Amino acid sequence: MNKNPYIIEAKEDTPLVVLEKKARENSILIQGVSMPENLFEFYTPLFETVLDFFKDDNISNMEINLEYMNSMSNKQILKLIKTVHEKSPSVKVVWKHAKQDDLIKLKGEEIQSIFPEIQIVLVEY
Amino acid sequence: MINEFKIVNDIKELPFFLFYQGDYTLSPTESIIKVVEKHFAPTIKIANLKRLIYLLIESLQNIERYSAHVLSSEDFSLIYCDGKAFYIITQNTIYNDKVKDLSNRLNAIANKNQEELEKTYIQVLSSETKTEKGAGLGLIDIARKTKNNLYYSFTTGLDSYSIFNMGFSIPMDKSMDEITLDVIKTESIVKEFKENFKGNKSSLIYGGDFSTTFIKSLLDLLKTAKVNELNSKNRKTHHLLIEMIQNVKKHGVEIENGSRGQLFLEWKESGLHITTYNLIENEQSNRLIKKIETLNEADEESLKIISKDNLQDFNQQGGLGLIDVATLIFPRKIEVKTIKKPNLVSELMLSIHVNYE
Repeated sequence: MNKNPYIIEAKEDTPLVVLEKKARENSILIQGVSMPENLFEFYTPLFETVLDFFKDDNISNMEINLEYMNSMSNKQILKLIKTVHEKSPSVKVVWKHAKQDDLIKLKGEEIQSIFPEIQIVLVEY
Repeated sequence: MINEFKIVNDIKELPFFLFYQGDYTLSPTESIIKVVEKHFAPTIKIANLKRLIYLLIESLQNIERYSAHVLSSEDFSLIYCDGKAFYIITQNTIYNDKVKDLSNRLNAIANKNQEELEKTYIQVLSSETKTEKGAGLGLIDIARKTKNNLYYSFTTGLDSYSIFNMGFSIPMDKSMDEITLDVIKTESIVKEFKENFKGNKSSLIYGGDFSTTFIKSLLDLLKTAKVNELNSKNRKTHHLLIEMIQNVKKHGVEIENGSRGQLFLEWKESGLHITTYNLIENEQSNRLIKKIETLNEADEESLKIISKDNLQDFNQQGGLGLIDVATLIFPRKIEVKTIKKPNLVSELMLSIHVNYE
């Protein structure tokens, strides 16, 4: 996996994913819509790709900015945060949500309370 | 909740069904087309799809053009498919002083054979004369493309406007024989809808696939044609629709040749009412009802705990969707109705109400 940044383009029901290694920080961006009908078709390879791409590197930032996320994706995102944190305990997670988007905000707060040991910041836009 | 399961029974054997009643000034045409096009694109020949879409556009634009736009509850379009043909039925209000002209034109079309229609079409196409609402080509073209299988009627008696109905059928494949629109059956379906949805500002009834593509087309419709409704741009409404629709996709047992389920959206004075219907395996239905009972009994804090527990349980794959629904509509409850069927499946109807915010 030599490409940097490594980009998984957004589709109708899956988000854009950008994995990037920079001199000072390495980051993950997940943006758009996540409501695939077959969840594992998208998320199972994503876990492998993330771990493979950042094999010997620390991940410093993870930004999650989802417009729509179905409940099944929610669990996978939570799992991904957990996996990234296990690999890079100092990772900072930025959880973005639109103003008045109660559900995405609530989901961010939920993840914050499940993982108090992870630095998760909620940002309203 | 919809009048028990009566409407559902009228339409559940149909593989595709879309009824949209409401305000046509904000042009719902594009979104309706998108729903139909995306539904049929994977399964029918492109030439047949193009013919369907062309005729649908003409019909929907007729409502936009001719409607008096005085009573949105009277304007609607209905598109359905029974596996053999597509059926398109429209209704709109029309000012009384426009009735004569339209009626004359339709009568003239009805009396022509195919050859005469082709000739008239060419004549009008090359003519400089245009009607007030366009070139008048649309109706002639619908007639020639449907082999003059056009049903229409006017109902007068209202203050300054009348009701105009139009309908036709087209075989799913060009090579198939023409199938005439069953006017009695269609009128009975429409009557049933109107009785049930009387008083709604707008209604949408859908039976078909419940894919992400459909969800996206529906959200587009909300953001464009329903932009004046308070909840249409509201993300909460969108999240609720996604979960309710995906619930049908996940649990719905497919009816042979029929649709996986049905969706009813009713825009009422107080908010948006969302109902889904599908068949479900009995065992799953029992679990679901039990779960909904628990959610309906829970207070806000308990819902948070239930949600958090479910989210962390990686062994459990589903279940979070309804928790999210219950949380978002709280203190309202999820209404549930079921009917047990003899072959180990149940009919399931879920309803929620989203207040305008």
